[in-house]
Formats: sequence, structure tokens, C-alpha cells
Amino acid sequence: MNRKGTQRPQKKYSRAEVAEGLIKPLRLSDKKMKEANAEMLKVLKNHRENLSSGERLKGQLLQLKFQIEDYLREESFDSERRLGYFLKAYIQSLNIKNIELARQIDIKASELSQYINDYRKPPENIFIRLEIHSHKIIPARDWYSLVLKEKLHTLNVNPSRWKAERKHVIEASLK
Amino acid sequence: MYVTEISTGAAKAISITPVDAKDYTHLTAKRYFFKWKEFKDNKSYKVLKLTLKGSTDILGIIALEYFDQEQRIEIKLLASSRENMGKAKVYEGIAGNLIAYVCRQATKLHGADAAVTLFPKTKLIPHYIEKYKMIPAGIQLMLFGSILYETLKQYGYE
Repeated sequence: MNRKGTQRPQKKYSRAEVAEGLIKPLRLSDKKMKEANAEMLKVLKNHRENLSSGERLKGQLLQLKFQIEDYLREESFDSERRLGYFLKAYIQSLNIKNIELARQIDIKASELSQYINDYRKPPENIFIRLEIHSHKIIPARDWYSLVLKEKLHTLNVNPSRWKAERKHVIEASLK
Repeated sequence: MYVTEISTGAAKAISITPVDAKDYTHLTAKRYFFKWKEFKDNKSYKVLKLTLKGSTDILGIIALEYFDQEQRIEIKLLASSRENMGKAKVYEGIAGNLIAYVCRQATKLHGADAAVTLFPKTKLIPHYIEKYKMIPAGIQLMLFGSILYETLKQYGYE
């Protein structure tokens, strides 16, 4: 970045105030920048290696939470990303087998398998159990919203169903 | 996500969205301290703006560089608007919300290995550590692991 034309906030504000409102880059030569990056990556590697299993799991669950949130914000429905897709990702994040999750949320493995494969949608209490299981990181509301998103899509894009239902309707007069 | 209006204590909902090409005409160095137009056509960076929900007035702005191989996002530059600096600022939490948003993006991409880094001015390092609990990494600072999760929690992402 060229300094020309920039304002110099530190003349008017204390250092604490500058740090509270701005992040300004340190200007270094390419050589020093490379050295600093190598040093930072070394520290980061050390932190990564020393991450506790609990912190690692939390990071993975937060990753899934944000992926679900962003998918729910998307307007379009994606048949590849239904409830089962995210349940599979949840089990992978936990690094356990399906049967273990089924035991931990007190359902049969066959029932969980039906949810994972999208053969059947879970009742509401299963979403509550999943939220509790994730230490409230992934809310029941978001699991449930994945099902609602699919239901809304199905409602809107099923021409044969709309045709069949039309036979039962006398439209309201708008005259 | 919210900033606090200092005069009333009211929480005001915010949006953080990518900067549009037309925004750059308003992003003057006089109000936003740096020459943001230099980022306009540079595809190496992502530039995001913070506004109140329903408003187009930009209260804060941040430029980021993604290092996917290193599973980190670097904050290149961040500025609160001039009226939100110092003792007379209008809203509290602009920079914090922008930093927390970067933490969210990094976590979404890289899970537990996610890191947010920056190259701060040396004299400001103690203040970033105090205000945002950043971890020293040589001459750089970073948010990682439990510190990053705390930032997410503090700003309502967890």
C-alpha cells in the first residue's frame, strides 16, 4: 500500500484507541516478510500440534455449524446437502461410528441409518437430542431447518402434485 | 450480530458483506484512513464492509488475504470510519465484529486448524493483545484455538 494520501490517526488518537479501531500493516522488505511468515508458521504449527482433543472437536463442530448456517441462508435447495449429508459430516467430525452416535442419543442404529440416508425424517425430539449431544454448538433449530428447507422445495417443485390438487379446488373469485 | 450505540446503549443489528465496486467512491482516506481504492481491482484480496442492517453507510471495512494451504486468513488492513474512532465514537464494536467475522470464515474453511493472522505495527502489539487477546507469533499476531473460539462467542457466532 502506498502511504501517500493516507491519514495519520495516531496524531489524534492514543495507541489504544488506534488499536481499537484500526489494523495497520507493518511495512517490511520481502526478505523480512518471508522470515516473519516462516516464524509465524512455526508457532502456528506448534499450537496446532498441541491443540487438545476437546478444542479440536469444538473447531470441527463449529466448522459444521457454519456450513449448515450458510447453506440455510442460500436461497436454493441442493439435493446433495440434505439432512443426511450433514448428519454424516457430524459423525465424521466426532470420529465415531454410526452405531456409537445412535447409542449416545438413545435410538436404534437402523433408525439413525434411515435418517442418514434420507429415507425418513427424524421427529423433533431427535433434533433436541442432537443439540444436547453437540454441547449446544449445533442448535436443534438448524437441524430442523434443513428438513424444512427440503419440504419447502418439495412443496414448490412438484408439478404432478399441484396438478392433482388443482382438481379438488374451486378458485376464489377475484372479480 | 450487533454494535452498541454508545449514547443510548442500544444494540444495533449489523451486516457484513463484500464491498461493491461502487462503494469505492465513498471509501475515502479522509473518512476511512487508508487508500482503499488500491484494493478495487486486486483479486488477491477480499474486502468486506460493515453497515447497520438496512443502511448503506459503511461504518467499518476490512481487507483480507486467504492462505488456504496454510489454513489461515490474514487481515491486511482494517478501519473503523472516522466518527467511530477515539473517545467520541458513535458505535462500539465495529473492529471486533469484523475480526470475529474473519474468525468465522476461517473456521468454516479450516475447522480446528483455522487461524487469523496479522502484521501489526510493533508499537500497537500490546494493545491488540489486550483488546483482542491475540497470540504473539514472532512479529505477527494471531487468533487460534480457544482464543479464536472466545472471539466467536463474544461476538455471537457460537
